[in-house]
Amino acid sequence: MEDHLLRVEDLQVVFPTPHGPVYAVNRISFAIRAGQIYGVVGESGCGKTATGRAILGLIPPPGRINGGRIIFRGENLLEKSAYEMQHLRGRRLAMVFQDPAAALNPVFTIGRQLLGIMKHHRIASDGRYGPRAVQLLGDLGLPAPERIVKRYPHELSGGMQQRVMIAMALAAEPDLIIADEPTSALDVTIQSQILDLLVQLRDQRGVTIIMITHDLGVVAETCDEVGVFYLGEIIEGGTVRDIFHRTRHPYTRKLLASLPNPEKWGRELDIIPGSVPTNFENIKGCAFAPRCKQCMAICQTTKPKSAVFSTTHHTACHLYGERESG
Amino acid sequence: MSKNTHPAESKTAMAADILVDIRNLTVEYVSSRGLFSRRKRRVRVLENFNLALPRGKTLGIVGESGCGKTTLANGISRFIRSIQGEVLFEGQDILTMDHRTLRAQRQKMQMVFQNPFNSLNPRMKIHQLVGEPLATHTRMRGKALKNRVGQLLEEVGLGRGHLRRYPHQISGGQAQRVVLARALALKPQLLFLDEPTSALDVSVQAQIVNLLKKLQAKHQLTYMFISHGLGVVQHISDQIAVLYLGEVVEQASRDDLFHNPRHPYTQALFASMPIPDPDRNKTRILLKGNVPSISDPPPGCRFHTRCPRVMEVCRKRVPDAHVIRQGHWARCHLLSTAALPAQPGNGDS
Repeated sequence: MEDHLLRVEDLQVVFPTPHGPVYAVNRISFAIRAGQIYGVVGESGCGKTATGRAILGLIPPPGRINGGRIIFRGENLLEKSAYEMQHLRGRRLAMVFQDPAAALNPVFTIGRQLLGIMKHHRIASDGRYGPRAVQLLGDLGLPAPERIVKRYPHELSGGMQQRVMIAMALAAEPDLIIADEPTSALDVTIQSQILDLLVQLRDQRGVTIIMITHDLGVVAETCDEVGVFYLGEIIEGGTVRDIFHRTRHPYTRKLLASLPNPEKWGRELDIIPGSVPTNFENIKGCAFAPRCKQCMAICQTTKPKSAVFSTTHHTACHLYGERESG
Repeated sequence: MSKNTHPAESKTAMAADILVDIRNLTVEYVSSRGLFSRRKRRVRVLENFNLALPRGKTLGIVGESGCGKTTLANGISRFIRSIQGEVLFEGQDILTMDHRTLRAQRQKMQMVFQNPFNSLNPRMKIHQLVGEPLATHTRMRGKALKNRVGQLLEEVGLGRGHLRRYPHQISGGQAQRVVLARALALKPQLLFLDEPTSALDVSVQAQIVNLLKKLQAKHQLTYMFISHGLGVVQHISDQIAVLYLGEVVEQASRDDLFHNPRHPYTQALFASMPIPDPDRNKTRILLKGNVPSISDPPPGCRFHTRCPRVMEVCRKRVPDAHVIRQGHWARCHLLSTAALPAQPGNGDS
């Protein structure tokens, strides 16, 4: 019995560069149940966007997927042909990008872009696409949707554009939406509207969502399970409560501790020394070792294996030895 | 605008040490109506704007995009011509001084922007970038210049190893440190920090915030810290002004504003800030709709189109500023006693 909608196993994405291959995603594994919101959180260059694109089969060349499996509804997406993937994209898998202004086509009306997707995937058996498009925009909280369909993207505000993006992602009723920093370009009051909308879509339509973000606040408020990414690896994974209340990995701990909060007013913030390395090919051991205060000799030489704390919670850190679950 | 004395005015007159006093500042942009139209459209971004920056402290400015945060910084430093008002920098009006004086005064105020790479010439090395303001504005040359550059870099936490690198060879956090070193080169008194940490990684943000605090204490710097990231603003600021469509709707000390926000917009801003704790049950105040354009602000209270507690009077009359306690005021009709709902206990007998 397959109870995971999506299972990523041992996925590796590589970008060849003049200085040698860069492993943007380095043998990661995670699984998402239907109806979940899974958070992919991490800093720049951690592989969060590459992971999302790999699932959609949209790794820009010369980058390529070097190995692993992406099991979606029981089938390995990496064995699909380009034509098959094209059919899955939009219909079963959809993406919401960070900057809606850049993702929408400026020369077509909203209605034309939305209808294009619906017609391509032939989702209305009666051929009445127009009313469905208007209703979808209305469902997503856009005022006067019958007028919105006649507008061009530049005539809408950022928040409205992002709602249109989400409508386009939903147009063919996909099973999985990959939202890549969907609110990072928006103001806080608009951000909370969009986040509420995504949670609502999950609750009411059962859509599964991968939420890619750098904002731990967004993760805490929306996600069920989380993978914390660092330099192409998942260094800690678990339910939101595992990650926020039973934090194990020094990186996750430090990341949480470096956030400002009222208890730290008047004091220095906790910092992680240094910055995310951009050239990390020569790191033999743990990727976080150069910035880790608890770094031990073994961390420099050997990659940590996954230490398992519960059915949901695991971390890749030598501090916990090799706690394999039975 | 309200005719009665502005609380910011009376309060700041009392407060001893004000570095910059902004009085009735009005800034407008002129844009043409269309590609072929000669008719001009005037957009008033700030109108009769009052604000004071206390010396050696941090004034945080929060608000959403298009509320006039950046225009304010540009207006104060006279990068945009203001059409009315005064900006008193240590008692001298920036807006009316001649260019020679202005040039000297501008050395005392420096700007730091969101994306450090946009502020650094990619063809210059770090030591040239940091030395540039010194070479332009001072007679410092040769060894003295070199030493000063080294000293500045050290202050922002960069080693001599970075001197000969180009901006693309350093990380975002390091680049923001270089920008800070450049800004500090002429020993300014005031820094405008326009979203200085927003483009940085979470783990690097804290480093820059700590550094800013350290530099402020060491050099008695005055900061105007502009950001939409409430967490960082609250951490760094002594006072906070909340802007909505070109108006300060509430101003208070950091603690007063956090514990007792009185304007519905401030309350909504705080409520929409995502909190990194999954068990924190909080009541969201969802604001409906979008921010209206500043070129066509709504009549009455500018916030009334989105306010969850809007009343009839809000659509017609501009609310006065009400003092809640010393140093804390808000501009909202809910605070005028007539509009307050009957207090429980204030019996109707």
